[in-house]
Amino acid sequence: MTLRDQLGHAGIVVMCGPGGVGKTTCAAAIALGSATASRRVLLLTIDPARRLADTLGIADGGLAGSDVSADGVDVHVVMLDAPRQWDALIKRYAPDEETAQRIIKSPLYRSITGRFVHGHDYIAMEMLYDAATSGKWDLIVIDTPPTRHAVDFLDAPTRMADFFSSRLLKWLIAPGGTSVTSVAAKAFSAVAQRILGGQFLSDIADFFGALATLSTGFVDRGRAVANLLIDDATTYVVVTTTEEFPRDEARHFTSEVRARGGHLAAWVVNQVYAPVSEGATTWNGGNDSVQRLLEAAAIRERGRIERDELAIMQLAAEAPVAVGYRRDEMSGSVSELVAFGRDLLDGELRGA
Amino acid sequence: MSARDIARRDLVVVTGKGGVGKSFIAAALASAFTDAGRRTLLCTLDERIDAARFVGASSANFRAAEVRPNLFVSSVEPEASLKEYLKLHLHLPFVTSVTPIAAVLDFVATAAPGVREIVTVGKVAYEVREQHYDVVVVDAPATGHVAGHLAAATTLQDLVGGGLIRQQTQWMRAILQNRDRTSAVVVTSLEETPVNESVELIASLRDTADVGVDAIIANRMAPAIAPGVSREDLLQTLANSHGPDVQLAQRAVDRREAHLAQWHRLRAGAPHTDVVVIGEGSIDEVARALAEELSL
Repeated sequence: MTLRDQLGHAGIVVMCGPGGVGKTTCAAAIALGSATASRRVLLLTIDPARRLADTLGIADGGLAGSDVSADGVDVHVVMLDAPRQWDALIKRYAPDEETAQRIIKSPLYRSITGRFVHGHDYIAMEMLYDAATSGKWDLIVIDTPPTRHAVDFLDAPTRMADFFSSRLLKWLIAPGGTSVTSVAAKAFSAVAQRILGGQFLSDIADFFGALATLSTGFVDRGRAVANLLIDDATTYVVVTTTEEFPRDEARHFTSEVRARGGHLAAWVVNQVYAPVSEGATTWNGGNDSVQRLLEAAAIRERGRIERDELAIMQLAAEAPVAVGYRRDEMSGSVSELVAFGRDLLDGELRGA
Repeated sequence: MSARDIARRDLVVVTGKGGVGKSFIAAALASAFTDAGRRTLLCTLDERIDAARFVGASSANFRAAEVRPNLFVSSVEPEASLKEYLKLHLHLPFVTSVTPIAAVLDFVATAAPGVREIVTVGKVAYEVREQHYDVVVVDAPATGHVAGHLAAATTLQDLVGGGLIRQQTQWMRAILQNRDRTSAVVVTSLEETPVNESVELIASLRDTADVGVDAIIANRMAPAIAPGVSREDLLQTLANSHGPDVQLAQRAVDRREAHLAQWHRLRAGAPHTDVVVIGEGSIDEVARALAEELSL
């Protein structure tokens, strides 16, 4: 059983995991390794490091993305650009151009869309939904934003829907309206005023008042995206390293995905020290002390390999594991990423 | 601003890219301060308690707990911070009976940009102002979030006309932006992307958050394979020998060289910031290394 078998005919692969484990690179590698002449693959990436962005041809940004080709296959790559995606979203849902401009020109707009209800996570899920419903792709691989809580992005669509259907929002928008006659609304208003101040509160109310005219769109889409995330054709790959804390986080993430009804394909355990062949070593040249120092270095390296192997065995007892071996810094060629992707996809899964 | 200035700060904010060992260094630094006889609070802002676990705490809560003499850990969550805030400043007991306060707070913090950040950073600044500790070490959010956190006071001051938050931003800025009291430490590993992001982060901390950076800590530097042996001799021996151990020793040599090359890039990218190099080791070993490097 390989990761390729495990992913099967999945239409969406959601790559997730803690920061610093190589998640974005693995996402790109799996997208490139999955593409064939007849399989159209889209990679949605969030914040690739400079070299990877160069390799993928998206360093200059642009909402349209770019096509990356190697070995006769190509993958379309689109990078998340949250501020511009938000503008597009507002314009799409606004009842008229005037409302759209009123929202976009608000001094609160930028800081709010960046932060409220995990705005970046939400927009990533919006992009996924757009791509998935376009019918243009056989496979979409999506990298996930770095989040403080592993599952923020999973919950973003639902939270957005909840936010716009909340009675608190109605009270906020209509402080002088009819609903404020309720005791609960008055209490809420009093607390909010004390915390935020009257002026700020009324700015916020004004802003959300305009935004709420779009809310049917947000609520409907939020629910649709939430359903897509637990669809049978959507599968999750959790990326980790053999280190203790990323491992714990991968476990936590996996249980959160499963609790929401998501399907885990496998864990990718990345940055693993590759084993070496058995056999005798013959030292030549240098004096004894140089040889002894090199032997000591080799023993330390063996220690790393053994620790990694132990960690993989433990992880493989809990879920299927694809191993990503540590390699020299990527030189920046696409074929190198393709090769890494094929290694990940076609290596025998551990513990499957 | 130099690495040794860290010893006299009241508030040290430790940040860095995910996966570089930021929480580990925050824990080791707090431990080193404690060993130097200072009453130390180690607190986390991003609701992950890795740093606390490194110093032997099985959990960390909003209320600080003493894990060993003079070393306290806490986890500063937005909801608990906001509640404490309100308890001190608001007297609206009827609220809780009418509508769940948690829902209101959640909503307010959700709708108003920066409220979550301001209350957590505010709690940290409060501990500094009240001088409950000699030094507060913060395991701050990773690159990308940290500048926004530290700049929340300034951002909100611009947006908010009045109210409780507005009153609070002034004194918070006075603490956070005071170069003598507060500084940031950027942790990196010696790899290309973390080095790039660290260089960018230093600029963004200074420009966006107006917080000074005392040092970069280059974490987990691979050790020299054979100090005192020339590179040529080492490579010659490797070239003449064969077998799996040669392959392994070659990896160790290559890693050391790659780290040195990244160290040079880091120095060139951040010429005005001290770079403190720390090797791999246990929390106690790293705490001792930090104490020595920083003259704690």
